[in-house]
Amino acid sequence: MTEPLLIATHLSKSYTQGQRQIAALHDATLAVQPGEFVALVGRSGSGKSTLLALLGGLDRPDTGAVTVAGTDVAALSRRSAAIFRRRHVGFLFQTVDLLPTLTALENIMLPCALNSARGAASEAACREQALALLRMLGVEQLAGSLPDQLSGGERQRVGIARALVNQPDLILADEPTGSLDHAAGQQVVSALRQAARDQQTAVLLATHDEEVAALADRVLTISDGRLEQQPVDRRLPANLLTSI
Amino acid sequence: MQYIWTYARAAVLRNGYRTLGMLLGTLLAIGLLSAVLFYVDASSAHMTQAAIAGTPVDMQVILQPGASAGASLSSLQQQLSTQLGVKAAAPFSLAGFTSSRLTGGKRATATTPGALIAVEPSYFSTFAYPQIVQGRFDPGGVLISKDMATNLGAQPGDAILLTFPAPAPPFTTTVTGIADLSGADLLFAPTDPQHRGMAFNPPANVAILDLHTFNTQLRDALLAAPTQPFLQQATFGAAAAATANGNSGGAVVSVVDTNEPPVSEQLHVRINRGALAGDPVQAQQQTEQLRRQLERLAPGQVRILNNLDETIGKVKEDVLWAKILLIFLAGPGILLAAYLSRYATANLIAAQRRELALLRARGATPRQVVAIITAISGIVALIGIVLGILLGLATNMLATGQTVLAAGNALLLARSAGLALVAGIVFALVAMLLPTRALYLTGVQAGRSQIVLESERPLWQRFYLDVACLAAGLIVLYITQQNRFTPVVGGEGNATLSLSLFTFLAPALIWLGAALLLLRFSAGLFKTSGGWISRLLGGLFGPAGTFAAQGMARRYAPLQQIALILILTVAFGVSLSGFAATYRQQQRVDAELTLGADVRVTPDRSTPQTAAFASSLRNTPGVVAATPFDLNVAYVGSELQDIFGVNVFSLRQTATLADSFFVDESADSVLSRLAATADGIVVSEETAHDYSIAAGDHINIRLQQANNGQFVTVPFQVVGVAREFPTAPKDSFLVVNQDFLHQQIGSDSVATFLVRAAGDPAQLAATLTSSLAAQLPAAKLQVESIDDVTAQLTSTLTTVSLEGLTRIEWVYALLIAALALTIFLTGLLAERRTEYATLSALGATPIQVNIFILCEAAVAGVTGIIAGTVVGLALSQVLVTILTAIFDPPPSSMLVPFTSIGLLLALVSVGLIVSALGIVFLLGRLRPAQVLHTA
Repeated sequence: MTEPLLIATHLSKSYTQGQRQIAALHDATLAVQPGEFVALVGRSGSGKSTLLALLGGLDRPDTGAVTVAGTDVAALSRRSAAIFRRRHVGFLFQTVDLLPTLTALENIMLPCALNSARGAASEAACREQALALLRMLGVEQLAGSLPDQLSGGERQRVGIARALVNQPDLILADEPTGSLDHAAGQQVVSALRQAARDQQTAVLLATHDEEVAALADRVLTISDGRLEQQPVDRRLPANLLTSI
Repeated sequence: MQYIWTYARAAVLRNGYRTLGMLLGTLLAIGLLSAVLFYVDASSAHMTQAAIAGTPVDMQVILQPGASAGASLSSLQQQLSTQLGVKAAAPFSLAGFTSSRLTGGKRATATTPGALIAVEPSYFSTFAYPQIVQGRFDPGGVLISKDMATNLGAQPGDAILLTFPAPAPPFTTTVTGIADLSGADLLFAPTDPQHRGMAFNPPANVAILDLHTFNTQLRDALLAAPTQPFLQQATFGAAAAATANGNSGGAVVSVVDTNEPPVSEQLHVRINRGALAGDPVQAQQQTEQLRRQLERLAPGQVRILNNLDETIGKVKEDVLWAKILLIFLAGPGILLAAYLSRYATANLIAAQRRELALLRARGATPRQVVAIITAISGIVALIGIVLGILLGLATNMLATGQTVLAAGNALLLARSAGLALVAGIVFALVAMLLPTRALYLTGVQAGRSQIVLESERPLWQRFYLDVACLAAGLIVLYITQQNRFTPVVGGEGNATLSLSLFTFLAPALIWLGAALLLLRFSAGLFKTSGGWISRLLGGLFGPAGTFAAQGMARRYAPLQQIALILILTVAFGVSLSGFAATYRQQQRVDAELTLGADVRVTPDRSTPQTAAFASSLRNTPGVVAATPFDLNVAYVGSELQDIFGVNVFSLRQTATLADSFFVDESADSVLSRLAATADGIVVSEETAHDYSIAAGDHINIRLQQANNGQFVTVPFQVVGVAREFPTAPKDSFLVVNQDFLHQQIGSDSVATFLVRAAGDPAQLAATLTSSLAAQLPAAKLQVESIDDVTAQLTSTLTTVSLEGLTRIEWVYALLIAALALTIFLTGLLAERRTEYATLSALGATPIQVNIFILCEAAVAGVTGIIAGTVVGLALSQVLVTILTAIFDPPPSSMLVPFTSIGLLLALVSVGLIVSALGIVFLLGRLRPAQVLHTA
């Protein structure tokens, strides 16, 4: 058994809303292996997004620890956490949140460029890497399009490419199929899975859709901020994935 | 209807900052507009009051020939005094004498005909006129005018003999004082309507006698004189002064048979001037109404001459031009404020863009959407307008230190407040309608998109309206420069202006053209910011700078708007500063030319001073230089002119002597020649023209001897011709060497001393007054500064104060820039918080996220400051060309006020930096996880 890529232990997080204290996450513990595709299933407001934010270093837990690729994420400063995310974590959101003034290609290049030294050579390398990802995802022709000119499925594919551009160890996907119809959702997840497999990237995908979760190697269930593990390995045959 | 209010209320609360932005935008726009309007009102009222302040008598009541016995002047005086609006009424009689002569064996001088005034002793306090400059008014003697004192060589205590037409006997009396009768022309003008408005020369020789003495000793005899225009001979023929002494050879200039009685018995009326309206037209109406009311007291028996009406009539045009000048100068600021109002309103509506598009997608009718927009922005605008008017009033009072809430200004204020209200509503409607129209033109789907892509070029760009305006402005400027507008000199040398609206057209067109051209260029600049700006920002800030520039190229409209506001703010501030500085400089030159220098010290005739007095003045702290400046009179042919005796060396250190003062030669060459030629003389351009004199000619001038008052002929050599000279703007004059003059007239006393101040002239005048009083307690000295001169000339356009207006415009320009920046940056933050959170999630460090927003602020700021300064200086130069028509001498070049322009740019830069740092602070508090979760 290899060392887990991600280890989170006893994570808790609560927010203050007005005068109410809301426990968004309570004593969550999980581990994800390198290259593993894990689904995190739960209803809206169950704590999925909070957990992903803590794992990606976007937020700090009240208690508990998060280690990704051997780094204690919760202990990092904002700047270090940003640099860490850039190198090790890719994010994928429900609304994708592509930057509206940048083309699909520029959106994909952005994390790579931010991670690079200045200069035309590194910019060219990022461009090449971004175009390769667009080709891999079958949307090369969209390189020069602005986000408003893309369909929901196309945006998600651009989002996947952007998440993969720095070849991260882990992709945190928050309801990436939430705004898509069933077929488009399935296509996006299979594309994500394929791309992650190609790059040996682990994926933790939050969803409320059981069918999407069914495509994962492993499913975690979250309810009212409490995480439950389902020890069933539901890895699908490769031929089935390519047929979707 | 209820749902509209519910939605609007929720929208306003949801967008608290943008609502506040719109409120403040409207507040500033209307605040500036109303402050300017109130300033114009205050200036108008000030100019009107200043004009009438110089009018000695408001109304003259003339008893008509054949008036009934009941309509006696004394009973009428009682009636008039009790009338509402009348402050006082006093009797006044005017007759003429054929000559006056100094008696007592001292000298044998005499004068030509003159006027004899008879008043009660209380007249002087009632009308605060005429000013007694030496001695006092004693019922046992007479006051004489300054000119008569000069012509006779008379002093208080001297005996004089007045002669009258037969059968009136000669009258011997004692001079008890000397009075200054300047500004009294109206009192001597013909009283019959036919000749009232005619140009005439007021009498130089005037004696003022006690009314009781006049009535008991002279009145009846004078009334018995045959009806003849002797009074008019005196009045119209005064320029031919001193014929009686046999030296002048002058003739009566004009004799007009106006059928004036030998004794004109009048009542002089002082009205309650405080109740007069600030607006000259309204003030004229008020005085006319009062005149009619007074005439009704004795219908057909009296005729009332309304002197105030005539005075206000003369200043009316100046007031109108002052209004145009002030509004014109403030115009760009008002337009800038209106643009800010539109920007802030559009910002609030833009916040609703996607939401309103969603409502339309769900079936909301256009009328419902418009009703929602109107409800959201209409109420905010109305509150902003009302508060703006109050702010304008407060600003005006703070900036000018004066209250415009005087009773006489009520109508003006109401009119201006109404105008501001209407303008505010128009601003708000335009601000609401433009984005609403855009909302409809974009369609539902485009309305829901994340960014608004720029559509085709607007109509004005396609038709090159900007280029057309600039070209037209430059053509008009060329034409106005070719046809200089010449100031027309009115009575008593007061310049009234002949300007044309055409003059203001050039800068107005250039302003409009420049603003539109900037809009076109800024769009072009930002559209291409993916190019060289991207490389520049990439080089400075790395990949974040590159991507920020690429983003700007595709979403340039907000950047263009804020850059344009900054450009216009800076351009407006710079041009106003340049214009105001040049204007102030010319005001000072004008005042200095009138006074002679910064400060003038004039000894009383009773305590004359010699040139050595200048040395003691130079020893006073704050004095840079002082020079003795002699002022006498001399005859050139038959014409009496001022002759200045100067010390060239010290005069050049003390007074401003510009090259433009001299004809065809520099000041240096003419004055050097004068200093080198003992009997040298500089003649005025007018004299040179009238007598065909040129440099190198020898001329004979008749100078008055100090010991006997006789005029003797002295030869001089002409060394130059001058247009103007210190103390003599626009007059005929002669300039000679002081030592030579003193030798010729046999006196070393000096009429006045000019002083150059190291600092504030008014302060130096105060210092000199106190120090001279301590050093020379017996000497009577009058100390004046250029501030006093400016105060005396406030009814002319050249003395309109731009200080208050400049202060108002400056403060508002800075507030507008600060608010626009805040709206822009908070707008960026509100609109793009998801983008910044996404950047953070993608691994952009806080500094890299900041670079995205700071790049936009920097590009807008740098563009605004550079383009604004260039445009502002160019416009300032155009504005200064207007001054060439207003000031005489015209400004030689624009004065660039580096300090105030530097301060303006520094304040804009600081505002930019503070706003940007504020946004960086707010960005630091952004919680990306929460933003992305709620997006």
